[in-house]
Amino acid sequence: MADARILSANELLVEGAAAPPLEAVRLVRADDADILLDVTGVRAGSEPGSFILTTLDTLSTQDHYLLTLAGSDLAWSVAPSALAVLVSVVIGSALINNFVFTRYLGLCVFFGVSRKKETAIGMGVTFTVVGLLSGLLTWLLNEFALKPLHIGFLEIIAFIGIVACLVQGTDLVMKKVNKVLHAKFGIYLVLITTNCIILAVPLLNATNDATFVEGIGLALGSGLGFALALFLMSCARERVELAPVPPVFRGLPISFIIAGLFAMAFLGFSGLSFM
Amino acid sequence: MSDALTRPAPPVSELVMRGLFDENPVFRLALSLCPAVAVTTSVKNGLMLGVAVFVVQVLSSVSASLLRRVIIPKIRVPLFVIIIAMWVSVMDMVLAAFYPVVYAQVGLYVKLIVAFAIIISRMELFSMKHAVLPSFWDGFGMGLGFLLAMLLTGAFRELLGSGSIFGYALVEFRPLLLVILPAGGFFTIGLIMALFNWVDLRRGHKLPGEYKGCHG
Amino acid sequence: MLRIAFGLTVVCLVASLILGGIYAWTEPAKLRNVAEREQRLIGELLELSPTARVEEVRRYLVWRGNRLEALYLTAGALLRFDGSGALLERTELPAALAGSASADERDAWVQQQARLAADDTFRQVGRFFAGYEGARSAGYVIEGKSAGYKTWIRFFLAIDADYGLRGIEIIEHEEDPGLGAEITEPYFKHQFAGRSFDAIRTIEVTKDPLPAAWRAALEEFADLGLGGWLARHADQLAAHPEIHAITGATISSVAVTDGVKRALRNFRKRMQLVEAHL
Repeated sequence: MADARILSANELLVEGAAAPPLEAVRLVRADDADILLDVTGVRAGSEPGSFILTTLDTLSTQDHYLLTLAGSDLAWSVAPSALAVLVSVVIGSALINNFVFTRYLGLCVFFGVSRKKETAIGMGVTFTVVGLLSGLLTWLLNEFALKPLHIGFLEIIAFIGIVACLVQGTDLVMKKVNKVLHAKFGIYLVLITTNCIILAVPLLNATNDATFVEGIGLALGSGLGFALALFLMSCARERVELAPVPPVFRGLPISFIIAGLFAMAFLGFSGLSFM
Repeated sequence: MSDALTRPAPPVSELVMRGLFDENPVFRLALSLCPAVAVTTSVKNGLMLGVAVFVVQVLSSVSASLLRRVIIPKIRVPLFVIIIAMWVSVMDMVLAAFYPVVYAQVGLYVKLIVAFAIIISRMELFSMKHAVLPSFWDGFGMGLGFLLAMLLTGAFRELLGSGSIFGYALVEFRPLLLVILPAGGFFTIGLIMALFNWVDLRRGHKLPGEYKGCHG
Repeated sequence: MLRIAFGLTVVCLVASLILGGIYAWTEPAKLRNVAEREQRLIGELLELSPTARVEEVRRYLVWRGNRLEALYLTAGALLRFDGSGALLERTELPAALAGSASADERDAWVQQQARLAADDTFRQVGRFFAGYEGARSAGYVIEGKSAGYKTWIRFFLAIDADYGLRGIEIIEHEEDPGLGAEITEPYFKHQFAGRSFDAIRTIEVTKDPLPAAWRAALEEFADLGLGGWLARHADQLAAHPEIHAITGATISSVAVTDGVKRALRNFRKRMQLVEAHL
C-alpha cells in the first residue's frame, strides 16, 4: 500500500495517486468502517502524485483509518507505526502504570531482593530477560492454541506451566553455557516463578486481546519498570539501614512506608502520553 | 497411626490461632502481599479476594494431604502448582459467573492467587506430613488469617478513603483520598505491620528481626 | 524419568478435565447473568413497563476485497446493505433461531448467509437494543466503548426516538477508585441526561468545579426519572451546557464524553439506513 499520513488535526496527506474527485473519496475509521467521515475538500499535494484531504472530523494519530476510492482498487491504511505503539506501551507499563508502584504486583520478591543495589540490579536484569521471553511464548500460545480452540479457561495452568518450564530451561541452559553467569544470576531465577508480575503480563495480554507488538511491549515495559523500582528501592533501603528507625518500624514496615513515598512520586507520571 | 507422612498434629485451636496472628501470612510472614495492597480499596473487594484465597488454601492443603502418599517427591513442586492452578481456575470461573460486579474489580488478582508463596509453602511444610483433618485446619487458619488481614486493611482504607464501610456511606465527604490510591495502600500495610510488632513487643516476644524474603 | 513424565501428564489431564467440567457448568450461568443484568439495565434506562419488549440488533461487517457490506440482524430478519447504504437483500430469520438462540448461534447463521468467498472477511462489530411498548418505539440503548485512562470504558447510551439522549450508564471500567471511577457516580453520569442530539454533538468538557445546586439536582435524577427530573430542573440543564469534569480525572471525563458523542452520531447515521426496515 502506498503511504498516507496525518498532517494536522483535519488534514490527511496521501501519496501514490493523483487528486480524485471529492465524491469518490471514502474515508473511515477502522473501528467504525461503515460510517464515512465527512471530507470537505481535496487539493493537490506539493509532490506530483499526491493529494491532501481536508476533513470535518478531527483526525487522531492514535486511531486507525482506511481510505478507498470509489471505482478503483486503490486503498490506504493510516495507523500508528509499530514502533510508536511499542514505545508507548513500554513507557506506559514501565512508568505510568508501573507494575510495582501503581499495580502493586511483584511485591513479595520486591521487598525481599531490594535490600542491596547489587541484588536489585541482578534480579532486575534476570527478570526483564525471562519476562520478555515468557511474554513472547505465552502470547504465541494464547494466539495459536488457547483462542482458536476456545480453551481460554485453561489459561492459568497453561501460563504458569510455560513460566515454570522457561525458568527451568533457562537455569539448565545458563548452567551449561556460562557457569559464571549462572553463579551470579541463578538464585534469582527460582524466585521469578512466584513473582506475580510474570504471570500478570500474559493474563493482561489475554484479557485485553493484545496484538503482538502490544504484548511484547507490556512484557518489556513490566520488566524495565520492575528493575527501575528495585533499583530505586535498594538505593533508599541501603541508606535506611544506617538510620535511627523506631524498633517497631524496623525491617518491613519502614520499607512499606518508603514504597508508599515512591508510589506517590510515580503518581506524577499519570496522564503522560506519547502519541 | 504415625509414620513419616503422618506426624502427630497440634491441636486445632493452635493451628487456627497460628494462622490468625503469630504467623499471619500478610502482616508477619509478609507473603502474598500483592493483593493485600491492591484489592483492599474497599471491604467488599477485600472480602471477595479473602474468601477466594481462603477456599483455595483449604482445598489445596486438603488435596495435597490426600495425595501425599502418591506424589512423586522429585516433581512435587510442579504438581503442587498444577493443583493450585486448578483450584484457582475453578474459583475464578465460579466468581465470574455468580458475582460479576465485584469480580470485575478483583478478577486479575484472583487469577494471580496461583503465584502465592503461602499456599505452596503450607502444602510443602504441613500437608505433606500430616493427615487430612489437621491439614484442613492448618489451611483454615492460614486462610482465615489472610481473610482477616484483607478485611482489616480494607476497612481502614475504605473508612478513611471513601468515608464508607461495605458501600454504606458513613460520612458525606471523602476524608483522605490518598488512602485508596496505591501509595496509601503501602502506608496502610506498613502502619498495620508496625502495629502488629508493637503488640508483639507488649506481649514480651522478640521482634521478627530482618526480613529474609519469600522462598519460592 | 518416564514415571515423572507419566505422573505429570496424568495430573495435567485430570486437572484439565475437572476444569472443563466446571467451565461447562459456569459458562451458561455467566452468560445468563450477563444477559439478565443487561435487560434490567435497559429496562431502567428506557423506563420500560413490565410488558415492554426489548429486541437486540446485531451488526456485522463483511469485506469482499475492497467493497464493504454492513449486515444487521434484527429479531426477525437479516438485512444486507452495501457501502453506500442501499439495501441489497432481506432474509427472514428461520423459526428455530427466532426464539432463544444464543448470540454465537445467531452469528454463525449470519456468517453462513453471508456466503463468503475465500478472501472475504466477516466480523461481528457491535449491537444495540430497541425497546417497544406494544407497537410503539420506546427508544434505543446502544453500547459504546472508549479508551479511558487505564483501559477501555464500556457504557450504554439510552436514546429516544428522535435521537435525544435520555442518559448513560457505565458498564465496565478499570479507572482509579476515587478519581476516574467517579464516572459511575450520579453527579457525573447524569450530566448527559435529557440533552438533545445537537447539544451532544457539540458538547465540551469544562474543568470548572461543579456548582453545589447543580450537583444536588443531578443526585435527584434516580428518584425522579427522566420526565420528573426535567420538569423540575430543565432550567438548570439549560444553564449548564457543558460537562463538568471530575476533579483530578479530566482524562476519564473527556474519554466518556468523546465516546458518547461518537456513539450517538454513529448510531444516528446507521439508524437512518436501517430504520425503515426494522
